[in-house]
Amino acid sequence: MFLLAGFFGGVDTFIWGLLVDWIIFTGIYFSLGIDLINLRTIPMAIRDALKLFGQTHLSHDGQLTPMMNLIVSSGAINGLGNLTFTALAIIVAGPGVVFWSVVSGLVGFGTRFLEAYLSVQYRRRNELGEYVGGPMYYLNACLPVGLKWMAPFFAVFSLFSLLGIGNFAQMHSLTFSMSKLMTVPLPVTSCLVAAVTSVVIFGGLKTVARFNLILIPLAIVLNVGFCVVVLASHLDQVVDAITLIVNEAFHPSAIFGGTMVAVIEIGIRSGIFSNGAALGREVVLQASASPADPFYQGCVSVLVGLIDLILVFLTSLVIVMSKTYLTMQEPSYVLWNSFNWGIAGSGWLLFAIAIPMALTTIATFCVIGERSFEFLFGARRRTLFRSLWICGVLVGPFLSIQFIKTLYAIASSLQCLPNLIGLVVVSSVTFPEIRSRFQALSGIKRSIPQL
Amino acid sequence: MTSDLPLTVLATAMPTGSAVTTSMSLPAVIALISSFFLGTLLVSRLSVRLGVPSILGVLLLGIMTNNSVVDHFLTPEIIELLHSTSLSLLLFYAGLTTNFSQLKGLVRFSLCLAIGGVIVSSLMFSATIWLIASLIHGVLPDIPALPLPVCFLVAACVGSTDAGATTSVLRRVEPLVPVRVKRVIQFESSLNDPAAILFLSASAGLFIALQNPDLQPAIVLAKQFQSFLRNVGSGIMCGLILVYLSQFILRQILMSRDQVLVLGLSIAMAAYGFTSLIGGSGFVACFVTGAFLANNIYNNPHITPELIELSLEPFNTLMELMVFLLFGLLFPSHFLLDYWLPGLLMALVLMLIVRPFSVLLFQKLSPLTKRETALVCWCGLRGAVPLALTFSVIHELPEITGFAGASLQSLTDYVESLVFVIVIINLSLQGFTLPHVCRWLGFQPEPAG
Repeated sequence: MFLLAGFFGGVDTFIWGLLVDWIIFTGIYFSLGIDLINLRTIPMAIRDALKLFGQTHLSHDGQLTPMMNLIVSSGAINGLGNLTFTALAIIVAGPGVVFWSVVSGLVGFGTRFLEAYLSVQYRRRNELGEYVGGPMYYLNACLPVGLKWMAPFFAVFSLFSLLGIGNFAQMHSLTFSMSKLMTVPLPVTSCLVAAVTSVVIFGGLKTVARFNLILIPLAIVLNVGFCVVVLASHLDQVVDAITLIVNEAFHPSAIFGGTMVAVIEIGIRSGIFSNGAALGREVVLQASASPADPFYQGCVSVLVGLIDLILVFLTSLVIVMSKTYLTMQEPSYVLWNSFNWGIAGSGWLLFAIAIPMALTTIATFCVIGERSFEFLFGARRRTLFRSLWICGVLVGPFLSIQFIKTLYAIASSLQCLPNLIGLVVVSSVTFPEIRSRFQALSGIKRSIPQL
Repeated sequence: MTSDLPLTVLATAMPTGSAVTTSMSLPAVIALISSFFLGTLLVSRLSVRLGVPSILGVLLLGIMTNNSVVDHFLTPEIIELLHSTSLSLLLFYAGLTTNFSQLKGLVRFSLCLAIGGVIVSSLMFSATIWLIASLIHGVLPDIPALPLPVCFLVAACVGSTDAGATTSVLRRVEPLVPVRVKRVIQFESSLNDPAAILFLSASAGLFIALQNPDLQPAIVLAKQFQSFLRNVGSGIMCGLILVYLSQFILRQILMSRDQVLVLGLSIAMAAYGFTSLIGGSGFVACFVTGAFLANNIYNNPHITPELIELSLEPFNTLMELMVFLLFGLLFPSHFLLDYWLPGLLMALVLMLIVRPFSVLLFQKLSPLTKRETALVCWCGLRGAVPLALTFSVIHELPEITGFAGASLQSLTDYVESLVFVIVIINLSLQGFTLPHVCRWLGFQPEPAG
């Protein structure tokens, strides 16, 4: 058993040692390849999104309205894990990681844009008449014959990684924080969550979307509102905190190991963890949404990433300002303490944010996993997957945290690799398409100089 | 740890006791450099007359002018700089001339020949080197035996072939050589440069790591494999990023054709420098940048890959000449008398056994006829890259073998002489006979079109 753990630990460090570099390089490559359209379209994306939000009826080309699409996708990437993982990264490697995680988030926009673009472009109808898409579909469609096996490979490991992060990890941290901070026994929480989840996920994508529609805006508004209030009330310290973050990013102090490489690596890893670029997660949902315009969905995906980036940045700013990370406690305590530092007695707000996030993540990731499952086994067997998912909810709290971490780390890296390779392979075809589409939209014509 | 071969050159490679006290004035240095390069032109002409590759003449010119005046202003830093720059430019150019679209139906064979060939021939050749060195050590105890890791590195050094040398020799029988053989040779010699560099750095890293007895072999292997993958992966990704950057510059910034050379040079150096800083393999990045730049379609119809290739070609020639001249200048020629015998034997084994074997191994994949394959077997000319790589190997010798002092010095001389003799014999013998082989194999001029 010990040997096995050592082996998997070794595999984890082996793959992640490589992936951190590669995700960043591919991100830069994608961003440059589409002429930074991912960043230049942000104003356009916001304007378009607002314009389309009025559309409440479902058009024929998707199961989600634009509003639902944005909310569900944000729900998929804004999990409880984002907050605790960011807190953990700050505890381990100091405030400098915030800088690098923001950098990796910005770089990830390129990858996200391309993922969403291709997911929508290569979506198709399943046996039940629904639109489905995602990395496994575009990998299957775009890769040359010798590499087609990467699509099922992606699907299998995405199932494992979703189970690890979207089910076990959420349940674990939710039940444990409930029991530690509010003394609710573990089985009670897990049964309650299982009950709520089964109602939601057996209703299918639309019920999950409505569930998100109630909870996610609440959580996001609470989180952002709280952080803004705290920042406003400690306005004098904000500049100091940002200076500290930037300084620590380049000259980490000795208590956090003192090497810049470690800070960069942990920061980038926490950024990848929270924004999920290159993991091809929320793009699966976007493939089912209306309007079925690849470019528009690419913009939405950047918007979703931006929301996540702002949330994580604001929360980590509060953590850094509160200096609670210096106590080296558990991440959830650090979060609790920094909330209490911001506004005395506001620790319960953490629950008001965390519980909806955890619940929606469990439900949403089930839908995402379902798509991988039906890619492998067909759409009619999805009830089996949903039942397994509920079992996972019940079992999750009793698994060891080390097991969950290793499962997630290995599965997500193996899910990431084929996706990245596929994106790089397709990029030469997709880049010109995206560029010409952007030129048509924005009316910018480029003249070619004659030498 | 640094992931690339630090091409620092040893002060030890220089002849000892040659400290020159008289420093040269700047005009004198410039005049000397100019006469060197003028000399290379003259020598090239002469060697082509004699039917040997022109670079062989340059190498000999370097040996002949091997004097203490040169050592005075060639400091180790300058030599290192020159080597890294020229290697990165050579690889960039190799990438530029790699043309996938011309290779329809030959891609698999050529890939195997380039990558598999480097691995197979390096493994096989290292065993032979070890055997020959041990045998000779038994007969002539003055010549040291070579440790197996060193044999590996020497074999990896001479793993890459040179297209320039081959084409310069084949120029006289140009119409006889089938086009597809020419393309296979061209492609192979381009792609096996990065393959040989990667093989060399991976095995060097492995041997250095194995020197540490505290680590388990499995962990060492895993670590080396990881750093190998990182070298390749990050090299390719950085290369792609730079391809994009250079395309942007080509489209938006360039104003006239004469700026293409500046762009090419700076992109090649950027590929080496930035990628090495980040922790990838700079040379792989150079090659990838060149290869994608040549095989991608630009949005600018006025700039073609051929234009970049043409603009860089003279510079590539210059770099090649410089590597050879530099090696010749720094080579302690008086050791040649001691070590010519093992070098000669190894060169013969390389040409007659190792090279044909590594080509025939992939015969199944090859669409070439037997005569064409025979020609490919004889076209394994070694060029500038092996010589440039030797410097990095010599630099890493103390770490790999754990030797120091006099034994290290003699080992260094031995390795240097070996590579030198192998390259020289290879160039002269194969280069001299290639046109004759070509006629002897009975190739007919292909009908035009």
